[in-house]
Amino acid sequence: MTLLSIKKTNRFSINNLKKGMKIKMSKKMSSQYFARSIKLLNDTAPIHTNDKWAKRLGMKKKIFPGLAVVNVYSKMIGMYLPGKNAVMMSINFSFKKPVFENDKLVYICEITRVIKSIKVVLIKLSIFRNNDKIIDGDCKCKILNLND
Amino acid sequence: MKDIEKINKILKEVTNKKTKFNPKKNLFSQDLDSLDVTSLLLAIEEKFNIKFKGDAYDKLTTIVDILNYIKKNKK
Repeated sequence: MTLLSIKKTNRFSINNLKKGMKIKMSKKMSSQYFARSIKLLNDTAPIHTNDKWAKRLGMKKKIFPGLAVVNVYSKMIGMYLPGKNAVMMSINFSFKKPVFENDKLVYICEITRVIKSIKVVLIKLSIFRNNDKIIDGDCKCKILNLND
Repeated sequence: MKDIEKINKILKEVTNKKTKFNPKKNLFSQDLDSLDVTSLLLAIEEKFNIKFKGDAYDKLTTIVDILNYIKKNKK
């Protein structure tokens, strides 16, 4: 398994991508990020804005919108792994645990299969909080070989 | 159902297009993009139980090319 640097934008060709290549990123779900996400998504559903309502729905307090949590993968996939030669074809997520304000999350992308003949890679996506996996998913990307 | 009919059916499913595809013309010249062609090849692998090898994406540019590949590689 190879953990890659995310200091600069990558541009892997299909021949350079290998099963096991991996990137990791951390993000704190700050109250500012929470507020920005609600605004950007225009999602003021009470489960995201009202602790009492969230409790009625079985949560301990208001929860982060799921799409605001996973949107980090847009950057991770498009800039780092596979990087700028990639076009996303599909992405799926399972939300196992809710995410709350001030949670510190670790995002991981790992290549699980490289289909060279069709120039497609399959990627496993995992999000952890305190070493517990709270979201998992997968993604399929087309890899085009482009020169600058 | 003949293989060509199966491929046309898959193409309609993956592209959501109702137009008739010309089997001899390059797929990219028939208003398909790289995601359509890739989805087509992935669906063909599954439905025909074959695995594309080599530079399939670059070499199989028409429906006829794909049909010939299937014919040669079908188990």
